[in-house]
Amino acid sequence: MIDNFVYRPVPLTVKVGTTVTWINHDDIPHTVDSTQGKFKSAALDTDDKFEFRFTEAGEYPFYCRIHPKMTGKIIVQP
Amino acid sequence: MIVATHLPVSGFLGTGATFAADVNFIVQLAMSGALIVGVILAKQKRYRAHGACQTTVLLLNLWMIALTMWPSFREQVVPRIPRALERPYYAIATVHMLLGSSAELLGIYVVLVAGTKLAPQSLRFTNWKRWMRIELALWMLALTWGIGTYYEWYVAPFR
Repeated sequence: MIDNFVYRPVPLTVKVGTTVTWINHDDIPHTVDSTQGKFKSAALDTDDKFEFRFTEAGEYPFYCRIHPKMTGKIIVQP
Repeated sequence: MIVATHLPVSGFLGTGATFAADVNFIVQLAMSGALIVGVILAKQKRYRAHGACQTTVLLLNLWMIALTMWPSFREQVVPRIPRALERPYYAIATVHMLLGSSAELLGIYVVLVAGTKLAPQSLRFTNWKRWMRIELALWMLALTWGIGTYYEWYVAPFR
């Protein structure tokens, strides 16, 4: 979830194979971009969604490329 | 080992902006200052320097539009026009785009007429001062809305 310029929860821990969905609840656009280049969303307007399936264990930090101070992390466990 | 990352650089003005947005903001303020210097040069009848100054600003602005402003507008605003225009985030940026585009196009036209023989005779104006004053006023109006866009996008949400 993206709300009030924050990704929640941070970090989010999931199992391998999980599909994570980000929903923008702000009234301005945000993006979800992997710092490692693993995934990259379009600009998400209010209530727009972005999904990505995590198939490998590891840590996946991400940020909003419009507002780089917004950061988050997905921890994928085996 | 070299690790490539896609992490953008945050801005340096202490707002929520990207580095590119902050650079553009400062460059726009500097260019507007340069335009005022250009006006002073014209008043001093240093027309060659005046032309060089205003043309440089115009071309630099074209570069800034292509490099930072248009890509940002195209990604964030264009897909939401017209349904999101009642929201200030989109409306202010759209007004800025319309004013800025008009100022840039009129500026190019003025430079073509004043500095070249490319414009056909029927499209050439003779009242230099009026057109150049209109251009300067339009530019400053676009700048004002540009400052408003920066505030709405990168300052207000983070207060």
